[in-house]
Amino acid sequence: MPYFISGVTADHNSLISRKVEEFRSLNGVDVFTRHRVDEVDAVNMRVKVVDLDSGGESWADYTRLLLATGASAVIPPLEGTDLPGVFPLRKLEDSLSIKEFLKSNRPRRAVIVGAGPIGMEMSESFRTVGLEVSVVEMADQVMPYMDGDLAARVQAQIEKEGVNCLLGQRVEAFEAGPDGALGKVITSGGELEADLALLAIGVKPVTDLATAAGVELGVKGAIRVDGHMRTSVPGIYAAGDCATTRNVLTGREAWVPLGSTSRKQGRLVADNMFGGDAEFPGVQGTAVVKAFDLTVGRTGLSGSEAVEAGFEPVEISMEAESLHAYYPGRGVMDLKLVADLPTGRLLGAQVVGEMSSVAEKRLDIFVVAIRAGLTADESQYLDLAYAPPYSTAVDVPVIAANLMVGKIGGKACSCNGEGLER
Amino acid sequence: MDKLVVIGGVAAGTTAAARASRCCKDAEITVFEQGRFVAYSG
Repeated sequence: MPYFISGVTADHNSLISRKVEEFRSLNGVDVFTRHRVDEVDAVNMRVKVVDLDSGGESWADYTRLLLATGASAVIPPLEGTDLPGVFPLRKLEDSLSIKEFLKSNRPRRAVIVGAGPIGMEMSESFRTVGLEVSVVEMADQVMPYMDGDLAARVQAQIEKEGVNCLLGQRVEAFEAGPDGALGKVITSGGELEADLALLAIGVKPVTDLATAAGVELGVKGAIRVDGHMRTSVPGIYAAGDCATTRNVLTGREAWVPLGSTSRKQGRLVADNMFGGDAEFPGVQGTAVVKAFDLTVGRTGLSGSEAVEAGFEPVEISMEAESLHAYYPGRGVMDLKLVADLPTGRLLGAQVVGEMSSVAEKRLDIFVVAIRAGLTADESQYLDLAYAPPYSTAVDVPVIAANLMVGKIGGKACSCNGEGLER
Repeated sequence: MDKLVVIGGVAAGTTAAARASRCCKDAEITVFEQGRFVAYSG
C-alpha cells in the first residue's frame, strides 16, 4: 500500500489477488464483502451476520469455523486522532483515504508516528510525493526491532533523504488548524506543524468475536492455536494475524503478524479443517523492509534476545561488498551474525544494505541455514551460486561464517570484506 | 454436508477458502468480510 500511495503501483486493484466474482467462478466460494459477523454461537455452531449496507441480519450455520479476523492498527488514546488528516494504514480503504486526502487537501508537511517498518516505507512514500516528513519515535532509535548500530545506518540514510527523525519522543496530541483539519502534532519535545499524520505505532490482534465465543487467548492477546491451528473451542480454528504461533528457535509462543505467514497458515488450516494432519512449525521472526535505497532485514534472534532465551550468544559484524570491484554495480551491506557459543549453531542475522547489494538474498540464506540448524562451521562450506555478476567468489554468508568460526575459536579473522585473505 | 464459514477475507481467510475449495470439493464455503475489499496485500 505504501507503493500505491507513492504512485509506484498505479492502481489499487492490482493489489487485489482475486476478486469476489473470481472466488465464485474459480473456487465456488461465496464471498460477502461489507458483511460483519457480530456473534459466534459455538453451541449451535452458527454465526450472526449483518449486511452493513442493508442492515439486514441473518444466521449462517457451520461445521467448521475459521477466525481470520486479522489485526488492526493501534490508535493511541490521544486527543485528535479522529481529526481529518490523521490516518492509520492498515486496510486497503486506509490507503484510498490517504490518497484522496493528498489530492483534495494538498498537504505539505507529514508527521509519521512510529519508526518501524511502516514508518520507514511511508517516509519514502511521502517524500516521493513531495511532502516534508518528520518521524516521531518513542524509542531512541529507528527500526526498534533492529540492533542500534544497524538502525543508526538506517537513520543516517533517511535523514540524508530529508526525513526529520525525532527519537525518544512521545506524541501527546493532535491539534486542529483553522480549517478544522489537522494543524499541529504536539510531542514531548515540542510542536510540529503538520497537515497529515500517519499512525504507525503497531497493530493488535482482532479477537472480540473469539473472546465472546469463549476462545482462549495467548501471548500479546492473540488467539491461541496449536500447530494444527485449532483454538481451544472444538470446530473453531484461527489463522493469520489474529492467531499466535511459535518461535522455532526458542520454542515459545509468539505473535508475529505478517502477510507471508498468514498465507501459509491459511493454506495449512484449510487442509486440517477437512481431515488433514499438517503442523505449522512456527516462525523465526524474519522481516525485511525497504527504506529508500536501503534494504533492512533480520531473521532469528538478536544477541539480547538470544540471552533472554537462554543461549550464550557470540556476535560478529562486518561490512561487505556484494561483488568484486572489477564488476560494475556492486553495493555495500552491513551484516551481523549471532551464533550460540557452546554449540556453534547459528541463531540470527541482521542486514542493512544498499539495494544494489542484494542483502535480502544473503539474509534468506541465513533464514534457511538457521532453520536447518546449521553451525557456523558448516556454513563455511555452503556451495552458494557464484559468477562475477552475482557475488564475490567467497560470498558474504560464507565470509560471515569464517569470521564467526574465528571468533568462536578466539582467533581474529584474517579476511577482508571481499573474502580475501589479508 | 461440510459447511465452512470464514470470518475475515484478507490474507489467511481467502487463502484458506480457496484451498478448501480444492481439497474438499463438496464443502459449502462462505467468507464474510466487513470491509469493501478482499484478498489484498498490504
